[in-house]
Amino acid sequence: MKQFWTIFEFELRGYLKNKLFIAMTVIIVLVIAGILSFPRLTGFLKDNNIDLPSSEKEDKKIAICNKTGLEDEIFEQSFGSAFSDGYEISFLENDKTIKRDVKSGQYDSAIILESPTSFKYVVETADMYSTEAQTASHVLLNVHRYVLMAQKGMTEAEIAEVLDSNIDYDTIVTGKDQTESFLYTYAIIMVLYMVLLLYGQFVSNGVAAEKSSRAMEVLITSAKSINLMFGKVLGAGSAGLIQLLVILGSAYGFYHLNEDYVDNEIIKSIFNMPSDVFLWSVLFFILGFFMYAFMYGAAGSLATRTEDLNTLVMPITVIYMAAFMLCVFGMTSGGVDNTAFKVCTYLPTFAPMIVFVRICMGEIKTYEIIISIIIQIISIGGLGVICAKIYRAGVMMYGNTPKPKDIIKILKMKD
Amino acid sequence: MLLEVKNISKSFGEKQVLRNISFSAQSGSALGLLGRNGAGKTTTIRIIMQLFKPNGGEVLVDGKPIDIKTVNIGYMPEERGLYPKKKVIEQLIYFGELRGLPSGASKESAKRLLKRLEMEEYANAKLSTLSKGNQQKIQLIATLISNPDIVILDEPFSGLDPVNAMLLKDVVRELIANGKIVIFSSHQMNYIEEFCDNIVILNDGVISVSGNIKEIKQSYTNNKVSIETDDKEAALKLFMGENCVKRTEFSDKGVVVELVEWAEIKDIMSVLADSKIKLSGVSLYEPSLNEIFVDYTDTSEEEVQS
Repeated sequence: MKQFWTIFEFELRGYLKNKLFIAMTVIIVLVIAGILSFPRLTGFLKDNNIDLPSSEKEDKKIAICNKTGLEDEIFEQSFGSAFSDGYEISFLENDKTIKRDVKSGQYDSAIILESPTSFKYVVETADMYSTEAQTASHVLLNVHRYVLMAQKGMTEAEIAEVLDSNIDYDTIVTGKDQTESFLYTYAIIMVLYMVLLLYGQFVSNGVAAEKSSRAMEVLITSAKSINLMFGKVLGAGSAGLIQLLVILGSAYGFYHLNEDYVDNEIIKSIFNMPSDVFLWSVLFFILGFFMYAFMYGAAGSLATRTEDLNTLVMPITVIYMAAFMLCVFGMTSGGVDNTAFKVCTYLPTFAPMIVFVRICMGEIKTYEIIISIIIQIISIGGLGVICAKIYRAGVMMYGNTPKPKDIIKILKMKD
Repeated sequence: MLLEVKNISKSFGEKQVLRNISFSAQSGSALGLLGRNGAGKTTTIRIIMQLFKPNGGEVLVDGKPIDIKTVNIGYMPEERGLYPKKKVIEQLIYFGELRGLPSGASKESAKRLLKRLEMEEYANAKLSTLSKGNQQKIQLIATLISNPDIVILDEPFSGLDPVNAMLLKDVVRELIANGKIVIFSSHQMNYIEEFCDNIVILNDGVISVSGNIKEIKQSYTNNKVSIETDDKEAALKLFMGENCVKRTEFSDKGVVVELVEWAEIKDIMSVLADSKIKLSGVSLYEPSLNEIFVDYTDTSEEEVQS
């Protein structure tokens, strides 16, 4: 046990004293501090009347051409009120030059009203978030209805009553509100994905470097391979956890310093996540890390050169990416409790991410969580022993990149 | 302490690497483990270190199966390597701790050995900044840091300049004097002859010869006579055409005459007695360890014949 702690301490200290590691942490913290403090700083500068480039946008110019046969006046009024803020509307007699004018930038967009129920929306670049066409459609529909109702002899007041009526509705969520949990779940899964990949690679690179520098020969004859494997993996894992906590802690601190100034919904949603979600994410970081770090470590021990390392870690990375992709697809389609997710809950290599997503966004049962975690812990133990074995045999293997059958042979070997 | 390797066999898959290897080494002595590349030396060492389990046979220390936890072994692999980016002292302490020393004792031992090998000034340098010879000395310190009972050195002298080689020789002599078992694996026969009383020559996984160097040399029949003279040319001519002579060649001090049969030595003596060559000595030719090594491990001749 003492040997394990010696290795653990050496590895952890190695990471914490590594300049690259420190630089990476500091840069990430600075970037987060910058992003979170930006709204407050700009606000502060504005309050002190310091000239900043005007953030006020120029009015968008929209050209409207009425070919419906209805009077212009009715459209002028309705479009004028629909596009009142931030728009400048011009009515054109004909649409001959309209496309060219939009292309040249004279107008930002144009609406050609072809008939009371159809129109063309002309725009240079279709903005994903633009609602102009929808607004125009709504206006045209209302005008069309107004005209029809007026023809049936309804009074202005009656028409207004029909058109202005609204339906009130409330959503009562009995389970999880996915609209609320989506953002922070996504953010955490993303962070988990990147961090696990990064630290997994740290472990495999570390082992491969020891092997290529031949420090291995001395290590393996001085210490038990199981201690070496667990010491390395736990050392890297603890370094990762410390880094993650420093980053998250400083992010949380900066958020609270600037809380009143942040008006970005995404950031707000992330920082206002329930605390149990945060604790779950730490648990699944730990489980996921060990699951993959052992495999990465074993892969590192099989590599003779760094080029081999990429080939050897690829299958692990593919499994890992598959789990990540499944999570993202499930989250975006809202189906995190379907059969695929239920099955993957019990697949140890998928479970850390899948179960976390299901806890945040789905209806996972407590017993499912418990069984999954037990499966994961058992798998990690087994994987640790298997990987220590591969490591022990792998570090003394130089030459060609081992094929799967060689790895099976190693596992069958008694010693 | 007595280290015994008894009837060790080892195969990797189909390939038999070692067959019935047996030898022993006693405290306060050095054993030379010789053999060509791929003869099975490293596998033998790894079996002693319990990295591999033998398929048959056993390794005993004082009659009991070796237990790496209680027997302290220091191993300097042929492929040198420590952490290039870490400070010398840091990694030496680490290796000491791995082998079971408390942190303080490990530091003390590292400092003492750094001083002994005249490397004190490099304690806080990164290993990669040191010259090859100095890195090798650090490797030796890492081997000796836990004051091992058995020291296994694989090619310890390769890459050392004469001054450092001398220093290393002194250290090895100290180890032997301090009652350690030293196992040398080397191709540099002069070092083996200098330190080792006993040798084991491995060839293709079997022991082709083992035992005391002097006895091996004495029992090595070679039908050669060494004739010491300043007049080498004349001596060489003297034996040309003699039926009893298989081959003649120059040596450092004169010529060496190889006889077809040892019984014909009397003919050689009479030829010498009749000649006018001024002799400074005639003796039985003692083969060098190098010759013995080549003779026992060179399979090319046999292959040609078969």
